[in-house]
Amino acid sequence: MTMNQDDARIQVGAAARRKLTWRGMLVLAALSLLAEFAVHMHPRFAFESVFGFAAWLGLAACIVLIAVADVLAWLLGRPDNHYGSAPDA
Amino acid sequence: MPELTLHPALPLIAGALLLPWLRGSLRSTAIVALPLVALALVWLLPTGAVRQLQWLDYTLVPLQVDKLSRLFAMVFALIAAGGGLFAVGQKSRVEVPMAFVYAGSAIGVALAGDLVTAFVFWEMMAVASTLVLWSQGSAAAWHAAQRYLMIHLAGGVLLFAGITGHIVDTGSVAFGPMAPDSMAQGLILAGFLVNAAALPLSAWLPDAYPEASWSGTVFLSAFTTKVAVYVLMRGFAGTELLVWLGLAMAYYGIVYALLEDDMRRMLAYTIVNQSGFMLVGIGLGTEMALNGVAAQAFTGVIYMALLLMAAGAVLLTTGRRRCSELGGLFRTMPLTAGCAVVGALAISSFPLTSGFVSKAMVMQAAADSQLPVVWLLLAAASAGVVLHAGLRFPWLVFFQHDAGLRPPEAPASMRWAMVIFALLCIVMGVWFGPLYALLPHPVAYQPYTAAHILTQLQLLLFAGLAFLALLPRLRRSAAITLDFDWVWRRLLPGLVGVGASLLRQARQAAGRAAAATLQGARAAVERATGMDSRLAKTWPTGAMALSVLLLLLGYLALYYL
Repeated sequence: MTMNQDDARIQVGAAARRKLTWRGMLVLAALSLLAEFAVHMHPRFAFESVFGFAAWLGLAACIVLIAVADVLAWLLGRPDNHYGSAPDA
Repeated sequence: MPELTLHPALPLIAGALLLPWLRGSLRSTAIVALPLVALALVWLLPTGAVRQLQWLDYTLVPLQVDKLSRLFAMVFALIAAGGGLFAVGQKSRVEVPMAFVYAGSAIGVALAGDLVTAFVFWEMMAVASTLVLWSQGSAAAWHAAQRYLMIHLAGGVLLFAGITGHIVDTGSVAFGPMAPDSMAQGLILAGFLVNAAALPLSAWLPDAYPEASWSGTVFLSAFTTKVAVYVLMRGFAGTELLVWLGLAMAYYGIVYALLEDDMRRMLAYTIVNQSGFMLVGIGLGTEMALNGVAAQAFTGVIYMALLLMAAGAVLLTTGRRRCSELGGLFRTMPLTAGCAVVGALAISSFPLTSGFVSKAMVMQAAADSQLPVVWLLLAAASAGVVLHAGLRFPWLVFFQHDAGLRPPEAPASMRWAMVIFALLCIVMGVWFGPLYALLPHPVAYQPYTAAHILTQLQLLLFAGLAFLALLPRLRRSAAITLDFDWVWRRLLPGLVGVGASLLRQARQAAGRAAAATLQGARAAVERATGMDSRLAKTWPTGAMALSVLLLLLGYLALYYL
């Protein structure tokens, strides 16, 4: 088998894994939301009563944090030899 | 049975002097046995002031035990044992002995009943940890060690000034609850916060720790910040400033970790993040919050060490530290990958891991104190931890694309250390009673309720969806993000350079002015007394007689006046 065939096989495998991971995560996420109908959630604050509050909070927090990180990279990012030679292993 | 009252730091510090002379299996055995002896001694210590001695006019208590100090001393001994096992193959003859002095000193602070003893062990920690870092041997480690020592000695100066002022103010060296309402106690708090990697000086930690050896970072991750957490719990519980400082640290750690390509620097930022969570709990100051901080410190030291062990194993076997050069390692390092995943699950508070039974207590305390903003910010930060430490670290290092690397698993001692710590993460998550029994206050908290499990799973799963959706944005290239250390790595050296240049110019200008003045004075003297001057001319005798006459007349006039 040539290298190109190997690469193609790996790419197909990676794409299939990615699809499977997405589907699995979506199913689990949906199940976690549905489970809320079966569990008494004991909200401690009024805003916790929103359906799937922890889910939306997790999603939104991650998106915002990545966006903030992007802005910070734009503002403060520098080459890794900024203070002299780059770190070696 | 007579109670054993040998100081648990002793086998570690005395053992460190012996270790460089031992070889082979004797050395390996000693590396694991010495911390276990220390652990047993901590366990056997009776509660209360075990040792007291007089020094000047003060009563020092170098060995004082309560539940809080015992818990921290135990986990420090445990990490010394696990880290020692991981480092058995370390070639450096300096690193492990100094790590044991470092661990012994950390235990010394935890068991100190007075500020003088705490300070002595505190400074020993600074020196020993610098040597752990320096022993890596590279130029980068040497420079990082210099910067690390500079910051810690500065923190030590603050602490010493504060302790001295506190003793003058109160006449006591006892280490008890304080409040930053005087200059002295403010300085003590500042000294403690330097070691806690609190903002704005947090940058010393991610600057230094990743430069240590593959095993050195494990030791470094465990002691300095957790000792700071301990002393803050003992001295400044309930200080509101710590809540906001801790939240800022938690977010700083997440955002900077998200930008980092160096796997160990990413985890170093995670340490700052975790310290931030603990500072919030200390600031809340309730029994629930302090229990949460103690539990998180105990479990967190172990899962952080586990993550850094996995990173150390990758560094040792591949020689690479950048995530962009790694990936796909699960194929040939499945055990290391599995242990890293357990550590990642624990830090993400996944049910049935140690993080789940410990981290939620601080959030519960915020809810109990009716602080919705604090609670909300902690919950969002928990999602950020899932994102950067729970998913990004293991994904980039062990999974993602295949980087073509086929390294073997790390040596057996390292694998055993990782497996033991991974098991501890799971055992503490499942069988949490013994951990709760060690906590400083009675525990009225049930972690495994349906609501807690479900909300945590929702948070984890939707953070996972965000991770999958934004995966391309989480791959970073080799770059740094400017941090506050720019002040002492660029600004201050720049200012010193400008100051030195100004001084040099001023000195040159002064030299030129002095030379010109001297030249002028010399010329004036030359004019007054030289060969052509008036004084050097030949004067007539009559002029001399007239001068003497005038002199005598003047004298006569003065005599009669």
